[in-house]
Amino acid sequence: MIDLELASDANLVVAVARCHQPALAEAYRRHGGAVHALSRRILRSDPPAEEITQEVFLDLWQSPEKFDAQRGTLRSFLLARTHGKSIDFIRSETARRRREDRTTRETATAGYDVEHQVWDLAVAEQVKEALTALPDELRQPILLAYFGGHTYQEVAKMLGAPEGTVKSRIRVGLGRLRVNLAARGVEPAGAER
Amino acid sequence: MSGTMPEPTHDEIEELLGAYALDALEPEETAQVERHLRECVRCVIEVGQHHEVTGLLANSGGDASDELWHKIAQRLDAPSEVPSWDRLAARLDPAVPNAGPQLEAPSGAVIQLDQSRRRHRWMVRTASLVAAAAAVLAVVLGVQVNHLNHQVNALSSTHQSVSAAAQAALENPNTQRIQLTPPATSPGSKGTTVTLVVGQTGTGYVFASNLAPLPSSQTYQLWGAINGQLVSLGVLGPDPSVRAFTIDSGTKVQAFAITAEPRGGVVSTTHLPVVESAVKQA
Repeated sequence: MIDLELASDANLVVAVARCHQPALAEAYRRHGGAVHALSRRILRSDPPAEEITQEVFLDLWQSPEKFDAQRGTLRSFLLARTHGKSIDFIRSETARRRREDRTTRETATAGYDVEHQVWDLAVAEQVKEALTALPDELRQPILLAYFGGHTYQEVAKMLGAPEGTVKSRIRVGLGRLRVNLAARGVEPAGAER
Repeated sequence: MSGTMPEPTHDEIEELLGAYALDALEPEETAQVERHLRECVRCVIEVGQHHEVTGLLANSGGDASDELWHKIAQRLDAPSEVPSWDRLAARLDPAVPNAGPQLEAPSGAVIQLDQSRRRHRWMVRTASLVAAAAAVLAVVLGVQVNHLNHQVNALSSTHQSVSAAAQAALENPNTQRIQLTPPATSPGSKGTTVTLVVGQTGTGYVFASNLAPLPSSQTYQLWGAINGQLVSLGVLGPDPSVRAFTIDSGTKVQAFAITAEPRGGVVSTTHLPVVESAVKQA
């Protein structure tokens, strides 16, 4: 017997697969706040963010086998699904029209706004340092795409840069950020205990 | 117009992986990347690394809301929302009602995790295959007793003799053939097929030349779902072409799968199959 609070994330998911609701509750306790905050940050609205948070954990309950501990942590799995669902939401047809208007308005100041809002998040200091260590041309496309929910084509337009350049900078920037984080001893959140 | 566009090259897809991990691609590009991920482990790994990084960016939010949890909990109780693993496991082998981890009553915040949980994930996938085959059929391969346990290594015959015997088995109309293919729901090796040929004597052959070579630190491993248990049928090596294996007499093999494991193989696996197939009744 082990205490749920001491169980690894992977073991929690195994317990979830056995219909053990307290295991799902523990997974929610560990990661629900981050899931909800990410969705709220992307959607800039709480009601849909709450709905997406519910969907993410209901999906885990219904299809726990989709999580593969060999391919990453539960936290990154949940956050990736949260991000995807949130992006799907804002790219729905009605939202798309609103976003296109917003994209135009934000072109001049998007980088500034997104960066400042990121600093408002309760991100670990080491993560902030790792981000700061990135050159602007690598950091901005990542933040605009991830938190702003923009495609790289939209980011290119906002930054006045070629699409291919932005596409490449996002990939290079993520790789560089990973190196920066490792240099600061940052392990993926929610990693196996 | 997009239908006539050639598929992007590996290098072109690689350039998209960062944006893909950020959900920053247009739908057409997303579909291209996801097709590629089904056959490129290296890119799957890179996407996983990007997700770990973005997960750190999103590491915020403070405590989870109790109110929101109650909303989630209220939606858990419908019978249709029982986790798929258990539904499928039950369909796989009703005679083994609780082969997985034993849990205390919901009021207790403790669980017991025994070794069987390690195979549970895999067994569920196997179960889904069997369910997809419309019934769990007791497939007796008509083999003879060869070993008491189910841990069967690849035969130590020379490559030439194995190949010759395998070819003979392939041409024998009395052998059973099973095509293993990548899981539909998981990135793997799209288009990769592995053929198993199982003879009446219990000797089987794996024709695995389509499998992508693994690094020397890894090996492919063959598994069978047998009487509700997951059984290793052989360690195939990192770059198998043709390998032999044997199966115990009276064995009911419900599904086969091949996974990628650390060198030397493992007793039980938690990896998703690279290729897999249910065994249908002849």
